[in-house]
Amino acid sequence: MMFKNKKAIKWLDAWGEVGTSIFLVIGLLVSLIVDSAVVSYIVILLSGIMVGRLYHKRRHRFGVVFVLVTAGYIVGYLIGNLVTGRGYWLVILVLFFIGTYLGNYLHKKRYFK
Amino acid sequence: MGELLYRIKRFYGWEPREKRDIFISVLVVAFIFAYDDKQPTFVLAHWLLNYLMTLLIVAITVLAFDGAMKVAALQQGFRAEYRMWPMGLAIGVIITLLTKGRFYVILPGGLFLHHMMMLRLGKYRYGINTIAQGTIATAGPVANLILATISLFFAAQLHVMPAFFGYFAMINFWFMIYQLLPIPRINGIHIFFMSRLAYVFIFSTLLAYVLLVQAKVYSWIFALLIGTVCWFLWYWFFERSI
Repeated sequence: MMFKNKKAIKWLDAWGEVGTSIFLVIGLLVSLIVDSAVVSYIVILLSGIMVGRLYHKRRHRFGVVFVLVTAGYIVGYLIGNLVTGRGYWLVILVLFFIGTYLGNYLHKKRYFK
Repeated sequence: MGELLYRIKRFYGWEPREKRDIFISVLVVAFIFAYDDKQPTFVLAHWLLNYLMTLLIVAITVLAFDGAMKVAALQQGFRAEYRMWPMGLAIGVIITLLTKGRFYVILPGGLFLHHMMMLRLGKYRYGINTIAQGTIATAGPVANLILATISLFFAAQLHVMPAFFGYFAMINFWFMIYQLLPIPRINGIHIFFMSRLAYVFIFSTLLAYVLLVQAKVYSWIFALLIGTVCWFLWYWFFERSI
């Protein structure tokens, strides 16, 4: 009732889905820009570490939106990988999870603040 | 001055965690700068040599940045700590890999202040405050600017190892500009929260100097003039109405 612009309200209500879509596109773009399998693996490992850090930071208020956004990014990355064919999708997925675990572990053990 | 020298002698140093943070930051930032060694084909020996040279330059850059902040902090009765931002370093490496080293993103970390009770006794605004944070945060980029100016003097005026000193100046400029961005965990945010007008003046002055150097004009005075004009424009169009 407060807002006159109903479109804005819809966008705000669906911010999780919007964020997921944006990260899907970012993942897709990153995957398309990468020019070799090795670089692709390094990028996804680093992305995993970053997600691990965020997971650690948000561990007390962990929500479904975080999972959605992360899934959006990785799905976008895998779609891009399918198009370019640089790197094996299973390796990418495994490296992403290793990176996530590593990022979370390093922050849990207080190696990084 | 004597008091400051005493404080430096007594309190200047690094915590083990800080040493590790500086070490990792230097390694990663050097990798970002050295990733593209501007050679048509990849030769490992050449790349490693270039990396080692970059490592030396980045180490001097980071130590000067950190040292200036520490001295400025001690002067005001605080202890400055360099704190790494792993996320920023990871973003920098990813951007480097994606752009094949054509574009640099240098977000290694920044200032973290500790209150030193005995050095702050009797001071007005005893605790950590935004003005102290802002002025101490400014000291780091200014130290990089001075280093860059000295190296440019060697490269452009004296023609001593122009390639090396030109590279030295370039790294210091990139480092300085990124440190001035108002991003959390980077020094620029402290200056921004100290005063928007001060931020505009400092950022535009230092950026103007970098742009003037690109146009082969080596003048701090012109940079200061441009900074003052930007400060005034910002005041006139944005701050005046607030």
